[in-house]
Amino acid sequence: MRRTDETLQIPELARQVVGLVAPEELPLFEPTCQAYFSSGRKARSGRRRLTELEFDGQEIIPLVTTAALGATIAVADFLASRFYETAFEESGGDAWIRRVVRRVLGFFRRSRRRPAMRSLPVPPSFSSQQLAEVREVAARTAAALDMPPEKAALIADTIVGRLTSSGPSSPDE
Amino acid sequence: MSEAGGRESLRPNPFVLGADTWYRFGLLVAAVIGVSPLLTAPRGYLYVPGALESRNDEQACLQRLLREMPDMTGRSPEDRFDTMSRHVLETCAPHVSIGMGVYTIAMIAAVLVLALAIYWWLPRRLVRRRRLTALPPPQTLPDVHREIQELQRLTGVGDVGFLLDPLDRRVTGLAFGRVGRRRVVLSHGLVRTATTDPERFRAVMLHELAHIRNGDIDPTYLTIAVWRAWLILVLAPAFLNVIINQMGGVFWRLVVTALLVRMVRDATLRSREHYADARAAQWSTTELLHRALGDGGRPLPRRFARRWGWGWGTHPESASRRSALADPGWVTSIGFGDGLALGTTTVYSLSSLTLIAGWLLADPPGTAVHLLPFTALLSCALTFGIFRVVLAARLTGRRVNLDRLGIGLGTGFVLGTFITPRFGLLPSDVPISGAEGMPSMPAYLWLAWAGLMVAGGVLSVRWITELLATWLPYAASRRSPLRMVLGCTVVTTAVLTIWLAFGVGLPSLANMAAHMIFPDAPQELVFLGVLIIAPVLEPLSTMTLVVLLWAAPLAATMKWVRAGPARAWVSLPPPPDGTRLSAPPAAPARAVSAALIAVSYVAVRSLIAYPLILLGAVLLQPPRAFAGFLALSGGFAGIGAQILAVVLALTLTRSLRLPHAMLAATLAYLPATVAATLALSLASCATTCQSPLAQMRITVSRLFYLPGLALSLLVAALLIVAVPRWRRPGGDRPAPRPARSWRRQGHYR
Repeated sequence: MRRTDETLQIPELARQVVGLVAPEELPLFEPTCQAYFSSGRKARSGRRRLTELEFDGQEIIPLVTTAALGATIAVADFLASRFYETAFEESGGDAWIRRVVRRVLGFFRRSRRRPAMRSLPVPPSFSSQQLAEVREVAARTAAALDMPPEKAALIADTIVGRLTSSGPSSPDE
Repeated sequence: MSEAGGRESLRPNPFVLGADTWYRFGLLVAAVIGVSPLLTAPRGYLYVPGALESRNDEQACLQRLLREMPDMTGRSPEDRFDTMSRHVLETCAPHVSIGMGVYTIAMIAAVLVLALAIYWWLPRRLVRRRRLTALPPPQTLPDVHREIQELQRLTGVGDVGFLLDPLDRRVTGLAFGRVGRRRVVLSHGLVRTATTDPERFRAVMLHELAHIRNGDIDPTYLTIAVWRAWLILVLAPAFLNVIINQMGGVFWRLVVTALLVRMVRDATLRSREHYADARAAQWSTTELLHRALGDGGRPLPRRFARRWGWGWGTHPESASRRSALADPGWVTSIGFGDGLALGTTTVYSLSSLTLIAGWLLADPPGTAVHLLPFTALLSCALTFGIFRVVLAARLTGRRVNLDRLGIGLGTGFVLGTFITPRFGLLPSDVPISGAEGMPSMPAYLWLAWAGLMVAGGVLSVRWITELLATWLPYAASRRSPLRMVLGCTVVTTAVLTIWLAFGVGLPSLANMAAHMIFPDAPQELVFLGVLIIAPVLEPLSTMTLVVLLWAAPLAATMKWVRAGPARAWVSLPPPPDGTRLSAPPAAPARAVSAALIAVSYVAVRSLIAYPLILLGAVLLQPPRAFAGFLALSGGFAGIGAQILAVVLALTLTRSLRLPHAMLAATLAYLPATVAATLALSLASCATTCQSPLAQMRITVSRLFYLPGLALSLLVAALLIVAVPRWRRPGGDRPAPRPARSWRRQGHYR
């Protein structure tokens, strides 16, 4: 996967997803997005531990906004990791260096306090397998944020559709 | 005047005397203040110059004194006591350490200042940590703002800022903020429900606005702040000190102390939720809140939690909240946990205050004075809490049973004595410690003392319940019950101070008597003797206690206490016009009868004893042996008469039994004591006393002999007349009479 100069702004992509899947959530998209990018990983999950002073609301409302943001960022992480792997392969790096780099990247990805990426590197082309992987990552992330399967699939499809429409078409598409 | 049928529709008003969050917070502050001196003292000895040396000198002096006790064989107990006391005072005068006192007070002040700082800082931290933002304007969220404005009009809660927690997907809210800057946070999930499920949105918002209306935000956040400040400045260093110095015996005491303070904190935080639910239910319907609480939680009812009032965790479970909505009595109930916390705090704090007073004052006041601030707080918590329970019971027709609260209270008194780390962290300057100096009492005597304290706790709670029940009709007819409850609080404070001063000091006194005054007597006998004699040594306190116990409740049944119709605050909805609450029926005449029977027993016993004394004095050699035996038994005659009077009064009365019993004891006290004193004088001076004063006492005794006989006969005649009437079936009263002040009729019961 080669890097191009093209990037997609993640908030913008997420907003498009929300506009398509749940337009009624658009009024709160901006504050949610701002909080999302300034919060740690745990806070971004939207599942808070009940503190001693809150109303004991037990139900979690599945929000398309957070699911879209989460899925988009997951896709960005995925694409970034693939890009670095490709870069190492092309530079002829040893396998052990690749492993070390992957672990270091994985550590930072898992870090709770790491701010989310705001932009998404768009490769020049996607193979159908890559698109399937991207879709899988997006759908899995959305489902993990309590989205029903059909909505998670819709979010994933929207993200993939936006990615493919922003860059050059893949040869086998 | 309403009938009993209307009672079922009336629900207790949980907001009588306000929500108890502030009282619980006060308890937490008292616990923290009470516990801190004992936990910070070890560090104080290291920092304050000269304090450690002075303490060691005093300790060494006391130990030397015990080792080198002068030979007092053949001396009377009084002589021994005098000699020992003088010796102790002259040789080992207690040291005054102003530095330690100032250090301890400074530590407490530091905890409170840090708590205030945390309270000030908490809202800002909350906003930053959760990335809270202002709720988008009405143009963006018109439905939400419209709904909020309507709810503010309904509740009368204005001047509130609304914030959004954009990442929180739960359907929840949070009220917080400093004085004058209240805020309500709406989660993203909650905002979504404003359009998808408006009823649920209303329920959650009403609950949050209820927190502001109830005024519980400040005590809540102060509670958290005080806990954290105490944790940082007191508990953590104390644990560190214990671990570094390997003080195993103190470690578990610290753990129990921490758990108890934590329990008080949790109780404060939990209670506010129930009150907020109750307030929200007033504004809307309970079904709304039921929906908002969801279906989670354990099955209802949680019998254990309800009965024993235990509970860990800062937030009540949904199940308990649903139960509280269904039954407002749940909100006002107090149980074992409350009693335990109150009792422990009182005794623990007493120990601390005694310590500080010893440091600051050359001649510190007695235990009762040290106890007073804490028993006042304890009484306040008990009377306010029990009043709500009594009122709820009267409205719902349930029987009041607060024995678990009493057991908790008594257990707290015992636990508070044992868990004070004073015996581990500080030198053993108290004779009951057993660590150094005198050996401690045997375990079974400790157990007996614990049983007495628990019984005292139960009786205290029962008496307070009866006191408030008798005054309830009067209070219900006033604009507010506050003055009446405060009056009862004052009386309760006096009662608790007197008996607790005796009860808490009993082990120390008994141990001291066993080792210093009666070293040859069996320790059990000394314990029993101290138990009986100690109240006699403080006759004014004892008489005050006994008189208050019957006068305070029975005064409410007098004619001059006029109770009118119940006011609107009594219930939800307000009771119908003309509704009156009834007081438990009183029968003081029966207490008088019980006392007369007891007095006649003493008189008859004296009649028998007198010739035997004279006979023994003439026939036996030496005469003092037999006379001494009779003197001893005569000395107990007064106490026996009172016990008999109490038992009879308890048997004869069916309501307000404790006040009746105390009235009977009071009436039996004077003649029985006179008789016993005379018997004692006769017995001890029948043959040996030659002084004019002794001869005069003998003459007086003989003069009382015939009137005593006449009194006995009179009492016997009264009994013969009265007994058949008591046995007449048909209830508590022997015969129908015109309604008297303590027999008001046409009431709920």
